[in-house]
Amino acid sequence: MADVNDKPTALTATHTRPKVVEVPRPTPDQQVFLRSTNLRPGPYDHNVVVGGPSRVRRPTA
Amino acid sequence: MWSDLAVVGATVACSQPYSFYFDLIEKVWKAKGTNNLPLHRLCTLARKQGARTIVLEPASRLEHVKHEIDVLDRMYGGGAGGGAAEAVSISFFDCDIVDDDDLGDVPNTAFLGQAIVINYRPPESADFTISYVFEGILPPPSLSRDNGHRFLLNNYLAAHREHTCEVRGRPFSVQGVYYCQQNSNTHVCAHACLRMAMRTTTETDLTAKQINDLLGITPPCEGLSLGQIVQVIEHQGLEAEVTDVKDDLKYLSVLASIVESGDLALLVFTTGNEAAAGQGQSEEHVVLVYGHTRNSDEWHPQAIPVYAGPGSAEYLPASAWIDHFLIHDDNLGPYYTLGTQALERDPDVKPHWIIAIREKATGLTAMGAEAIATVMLTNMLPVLAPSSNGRWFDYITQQPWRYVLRTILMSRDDYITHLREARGHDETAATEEELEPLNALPERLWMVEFSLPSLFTGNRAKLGEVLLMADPDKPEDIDDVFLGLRLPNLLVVKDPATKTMLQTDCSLQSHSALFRRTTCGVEW
Repeated sequence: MADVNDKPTALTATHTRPKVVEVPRPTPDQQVFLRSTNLRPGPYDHNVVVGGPSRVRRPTA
Repeated sequence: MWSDLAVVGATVACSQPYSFYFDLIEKVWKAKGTNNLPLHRLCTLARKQGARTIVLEPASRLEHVKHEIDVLDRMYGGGAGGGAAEAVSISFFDCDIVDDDDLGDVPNTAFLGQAIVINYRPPESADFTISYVFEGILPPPSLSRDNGHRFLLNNYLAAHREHTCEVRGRPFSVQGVYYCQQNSNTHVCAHACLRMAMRTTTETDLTAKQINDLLGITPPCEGLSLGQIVQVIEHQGLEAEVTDVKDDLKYLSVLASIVESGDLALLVFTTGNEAAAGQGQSEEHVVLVYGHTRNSDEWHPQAIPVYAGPGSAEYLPASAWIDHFLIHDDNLGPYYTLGTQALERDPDVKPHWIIAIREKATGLTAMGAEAIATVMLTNMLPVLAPSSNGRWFDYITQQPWRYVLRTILMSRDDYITHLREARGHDETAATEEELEPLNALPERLWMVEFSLPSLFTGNRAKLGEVLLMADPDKPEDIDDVFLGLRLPNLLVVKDPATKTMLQTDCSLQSHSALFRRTTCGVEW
């Protein structure tokens, strides 16, 4: 195993890269999680009525 | 036409033993038994801010007040034998004013704000039946006003705006979040929240009548549909994003992402009351959310963490440290803090809808962005481990951690500026050349900051960001959504031509400050 000190650092690198990086595939549990997450906004029922007249009255004991 | 009932102007010392209860509210609130809590709240805030003088004067001379009463009177038949109204403006000052004519000497900093109360008596009625706070303009509560605005500890505001109030002909300006109360007739809480939001985020002085005219509603009003709310927002040149958060504790993260991105939200929750329309539906109330508080000493995020994400990529939402959202409730008044546990206290009072008000709606939800970010971060860091070295680089690439994730919607230009200005804890910084690949990013993106609990709470700092498309055609295609990643020493950005991820060096080698869209005062 290479010593970590052999690796380039940002300060010592010569910027001869960019280097292509492979993106790993999500694991099975990650795929399940992503499928269960609402990625797209909505949908919603446009006709749901909210915020009717207030029923708050002056509170008394 | 309604009769404009005389209001006698007065300048009144309101320090102890003056009673806002008996000497003010009892006198100016004419419709007995109606909800005067908002005026109590405004007086409470003025008292806490050190009010010493109030100036009372007729308000029906103001065009927008006159217009409001016209609309109300028309609903009751109006005409020659219209109703009667009196409108009074109540201006609060934190200095003594003894002479009615000396307002010219009063500094603007002494002005605490203004409330306008409208009392209305319908035709044929002997009594006032409607009283409400037509508008209330106060600055956010502050600890000290000596050096300008200093918000309360750890209060973060997504938006506020300068408002001008006239007191005896002299304009006073105040920075704040506009407040108004519904009158339950020509407008309800949905109207009030839309007015509050628009008058805080835009230069438009949106009125309830404009809302009703746009939607073709003839008062009395029975609430607005979600579609109508969205229509009003879009008519103002903005866009709305509606999220159903019923039975979903993630509503805290959704709200957090909206206000941390500098946007406002309407939060709709059930009340347990049956809707007037019947059919067993619960009535739902709307409040305006314009900010949050954060408790960096909060115990539970680390002691009894509720991790989000899949087992292989768990994370801590940054919202776990948010302990309140800052809200205006038209029924209760302005500048309340809604505890994050508040909507768990009563099974009938539960969050249901969140409506984000943005310049442009997104094609990927904040929760989706956070989910993809934790997966990408978890999977990418080990892959990148051989590419560089450094204290923080090694720390995060050689061992998996459960990161704190904070999800912000922002422009590419703001992101580049943010990184250009970022300075590491070790004083390192990215160079212009290193930031060049970021110009290939789309115009708008989700930036999901990742941090560790101690850095997040102590340094208010992060280790990097995951970058994701805000407007993807196919949010399910995470290869398409994933735009890049920055961590100490490295920048990974997608090449738009080849769709490959290209890794380059970045001289920013340590943790750096979190991005700020909100305004805050004293922080801990």
